[in-house]
Amino acid sequence: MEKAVKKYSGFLNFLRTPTPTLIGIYIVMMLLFSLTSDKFLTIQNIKGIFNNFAVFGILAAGVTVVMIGGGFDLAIGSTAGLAGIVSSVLLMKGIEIPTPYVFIIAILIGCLVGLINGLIITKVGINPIITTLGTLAIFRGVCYFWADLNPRVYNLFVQSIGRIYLGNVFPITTLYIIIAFVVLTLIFKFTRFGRDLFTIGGNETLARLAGIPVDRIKILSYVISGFFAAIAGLLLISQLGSGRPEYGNGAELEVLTIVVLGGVVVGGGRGNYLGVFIALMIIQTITNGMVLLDVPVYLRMVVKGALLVLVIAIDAIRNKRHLQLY
Amino acid sequence: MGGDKVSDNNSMILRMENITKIFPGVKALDDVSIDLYKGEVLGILGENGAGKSTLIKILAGNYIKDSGDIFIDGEKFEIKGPAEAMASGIRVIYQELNTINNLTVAENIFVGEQIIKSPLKIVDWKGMTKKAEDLLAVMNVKLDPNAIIGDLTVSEKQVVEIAKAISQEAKILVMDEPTAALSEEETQSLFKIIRTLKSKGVAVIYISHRLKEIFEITDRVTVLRDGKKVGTLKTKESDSNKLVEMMVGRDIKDMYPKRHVPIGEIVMEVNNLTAAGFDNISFNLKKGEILGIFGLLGSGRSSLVNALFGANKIKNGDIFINGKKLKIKSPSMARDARIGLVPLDRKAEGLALMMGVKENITLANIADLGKSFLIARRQEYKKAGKWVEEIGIRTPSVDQEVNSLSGGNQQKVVLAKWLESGSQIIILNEPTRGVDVGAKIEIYKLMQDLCEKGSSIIMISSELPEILSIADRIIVMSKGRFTEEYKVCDASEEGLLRSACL
Repeated sequence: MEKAVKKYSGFLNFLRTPTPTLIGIYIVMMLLFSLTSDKFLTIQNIKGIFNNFAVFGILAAGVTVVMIGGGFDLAIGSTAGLAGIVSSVLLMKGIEIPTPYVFIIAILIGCLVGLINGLIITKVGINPIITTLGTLAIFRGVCYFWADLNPRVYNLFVQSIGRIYLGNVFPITTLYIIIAFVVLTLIFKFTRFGRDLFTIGGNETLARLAGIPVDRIKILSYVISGFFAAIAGLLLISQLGSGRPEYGNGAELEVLTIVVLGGVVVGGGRGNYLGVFIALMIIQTITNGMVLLDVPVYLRMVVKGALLVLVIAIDAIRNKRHLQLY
Repeated sequence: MGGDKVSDNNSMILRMENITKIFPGVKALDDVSIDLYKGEVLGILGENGAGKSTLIKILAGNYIKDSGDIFIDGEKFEIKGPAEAMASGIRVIYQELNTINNLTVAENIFVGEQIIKSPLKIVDWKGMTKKAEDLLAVMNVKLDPNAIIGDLTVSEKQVVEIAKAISQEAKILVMDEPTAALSEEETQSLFKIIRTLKSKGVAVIYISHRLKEIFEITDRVTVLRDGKKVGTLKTKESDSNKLVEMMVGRDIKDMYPKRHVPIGEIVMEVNNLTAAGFDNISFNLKKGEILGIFGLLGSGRSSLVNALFGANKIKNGDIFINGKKLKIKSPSMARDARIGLVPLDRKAEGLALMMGVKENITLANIADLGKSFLIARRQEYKKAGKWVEEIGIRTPSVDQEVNSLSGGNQQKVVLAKWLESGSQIIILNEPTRGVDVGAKIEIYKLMQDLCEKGSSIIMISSELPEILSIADRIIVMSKGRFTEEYKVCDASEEGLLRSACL
């Protein structure tokens, strides 16, 4: 029955991902909100939407890498918090380490956290959810060592990295996200690391039997996630103008919602950044639109949760129909 | 086919009449009719994609037919879901067993149907154990009802599934490739159970690729091809050539093509190798040779080949490749020594099902695609395309997800991966398991092509006719030890089985 087997081109493969559904939902949502609120389609508001998702977007960039390799990273929020508070302390009056060094230290902290997670997960062999649940708590605890300092960020350059608008409209943070997503997409498509990552997420036993350096690639994926968490931490202190030990608290759940909504499969092997980007816009637009419509906070949570389940359900039903063929 | 009658006066228990099932773009079943009598075993034979599974899933209520009628005990019956199929006494034992590993045999048998003591509505453990014992006794099996399923062998788990089926008064028992994971000996004990059930009036539908089993256990056999019924024969009045011809739709004179390839010098020598699962194994492999390894489940044959491939840690002993001593500590070292492994469970260990044909072919040797960290995509297409053509992988394109290929073509993709890596020693663990006859023959031919080109092959097989026809030399293992070595001209089915039980 080989003749009957459907042929998949790149475009048909794309149609099978949840991304088209997401695009549809996004369009419907935009229409709905712009018809019900006259404040929605204003430049001011759109600017706000884009600027607000900067931190989540950067975190999602890293978590997507980990999840495609079949892993899980709950420690991103506290890693961002740690990188943020350490940098803001180092920038404090009286310490004033030069900004480039602060950035390097922040990124090293992020990568180190990722390395620790990766080593525990691959070399000790502890489940990634448990591992990162543990390191989530550990590094959040470490953040509180500086709790009494309340460092404010006066460094103008640091303030600017999260606050500039290109042409006074387009937030530079969105550009960061787009650059990160595009670069990672190219890495996924054109590099050995990307291919090996998808292979590991698709079938880890196979990857091991094919001689792919599974542990090394998984560790690297956590380091990449830590790297982006550190950048998110820098954006946090830039946008908020201070360092607080609780920054980034709970970000992991919001980011996981975005990433999974965007079609990254829990367990690995499938996902793309276009979907993640649209999911990011959807989640932020919902939050914003419902604020404008004065929807109570608890109802906003209900809507976000329902949307996640709905999109994943649509995807599951479509895939089931696909699988039934065989 | 009007003349499908059984000679004795048994009553017809099931008739599926003119069943058609259409999936988007595929007519999976086209006007297929079968009938089944009380106390008979009906074989259903066909290549992958012939419609066997679809037919069974309709009977089990997992699929809804598009047209046609189903009669049970002469009455028309609409199967709308699994519950109705169960209620009318249909039980299906799928290839993938559905036992729960943490529970005991008795708990598994009565899962969802626990025996309840009435006043307090609590589980009657004693009654359940007793009834489980009775059921196992009916089948003539010695199995402790309190044993934990996880500790049992595959065949024992299957026995538990059968016990579960008959505990709920199965009238029709469907078995989908039940022997795929069983050794010859275990197959025989399964047949004993089937015969016992038969004598108690249970009708059995037996699906298999293995012709030998069809001849041994079935009374009649229905052959499907491309979703259509080719015919139904009395097993006694048919022979394997005829059945293969019906299945494949062409005349196949020889199931096992054997060419004579000149055998060269020793390429691999294994001395006193010991690792988890086996002890002190020595053998050698020569250029152009197909070395068969035979043994029952648990004989250590898979542990041995995994050790040769660096996937099972070697405790003791030496491996020489082309005369050079080599410590193989990981699959990547084995790959670099030009050894390839086509593993036992191709879906779990051999393929990334969600990825395309080309990605699966190049994934073990991606370092060779361009010197940098980038993948040379054009070169990748070319290489994948070359293998697709050279070994005849039937796929619409190299981008096709391997998930949607047939078992035989999937197996060829796994093999292509190692050919692409330049493997000279190829280890195949049950290469034709779950592969249809047509593809089997192609795989045998391919193996011999490889030998002609100077590769050497180690093949594990538990199918006696296969190993006896394809291998040049056979070593037999039992309980982790080497027991005997045969030149294929001196080997016989009886001899191999005897050595495998030593």
